[in-house]
Amino acid sequence: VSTARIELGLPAEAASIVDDYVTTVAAFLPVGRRIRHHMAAEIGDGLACAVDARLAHGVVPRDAARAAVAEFGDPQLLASSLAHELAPAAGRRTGATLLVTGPLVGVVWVVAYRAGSANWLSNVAAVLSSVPVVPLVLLLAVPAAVVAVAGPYVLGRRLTLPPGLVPVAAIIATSAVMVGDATLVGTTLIHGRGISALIGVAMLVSVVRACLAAAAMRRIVRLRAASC
Amino acid sequence: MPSEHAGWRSQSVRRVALLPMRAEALKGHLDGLLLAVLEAGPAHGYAVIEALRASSDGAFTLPSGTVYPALRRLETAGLVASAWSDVDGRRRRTYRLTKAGSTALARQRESWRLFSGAVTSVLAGGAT
Repeated sequence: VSTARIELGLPAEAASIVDDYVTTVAAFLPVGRRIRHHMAAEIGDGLACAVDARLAHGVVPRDAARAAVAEFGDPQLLASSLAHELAPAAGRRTGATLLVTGPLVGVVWVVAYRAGSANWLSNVAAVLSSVPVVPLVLLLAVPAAVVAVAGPYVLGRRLTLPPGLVPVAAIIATSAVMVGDATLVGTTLIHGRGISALIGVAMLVSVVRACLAAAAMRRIVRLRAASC
Repeated sequence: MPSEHAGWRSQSVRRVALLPMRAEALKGHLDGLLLAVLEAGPAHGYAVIEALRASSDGAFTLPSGTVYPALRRLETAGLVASAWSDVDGRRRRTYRLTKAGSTALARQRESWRLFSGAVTSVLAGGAT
């Protein structure tokens, strides 16, 4: 995160003040390394422009940097406002990922069951009936993911939507997916249906997806918590 | 003293009138203002702030930190798009208006025209 001294080309006295500000903003942002680096670079560039403008008017570097950070406002408030705007983007991304990967995970399970028995369709039906949570999960996760991706653009044209709708829909979708995957894996293990290599792959895929969904949900929850 | 009090009040009113508008006063209008600034051409965050300040004769002097989250919001909504470049050794994110952004700006302009016309009409006493 400490980028100002190297990348912004400011005098040392100004750079340390700008660097402190950018570091504080980045520290309060609960996002991944890439987005944090982008935000730090963008805020740092903006501050450097504000410092440059003052230096051009003959202000000494330290005063120029102090005035620039004062102009940008409370760094924690800026981080909080950024988190507020980043949460819907993260929710939308997560919803889109779930909608794309959902059918793929489903296909892996169906293929796994098909390879295990000639009567694969009835096996899939048996799984769905023996794990009644799965259809419920689909009924919950799919609409929630669709709302996370397209809610503001489709529903938002006709209705006044609550501001936190997208992150909440993404949290519901990820929770449902985690429950669905855990139930599928757990039931398969408990019923001991002669776990083939393909069933093992399907279970692994579900475990990986559940872990990624948990990580995505954690990110969105932390962004919501950091939002103003 | 009444006269002193009146003097203080008139000074106070003048001072308030000269203050830059606070961020809360622009709530609901900031997105449209940013789109209008970007209509002139692509710009980075601080250039947007400067353009907003210049085109409002200093009335819209927001904490610069207010503008970056708003630009993120507009990008998430698909109304602006951004690209990174290197300028004098600095990484710089530049925003440009998208087609959806142009449409949204036209809608905001029309909405503002109707709203401001109605308010002006009422304040001028034309609605009696």
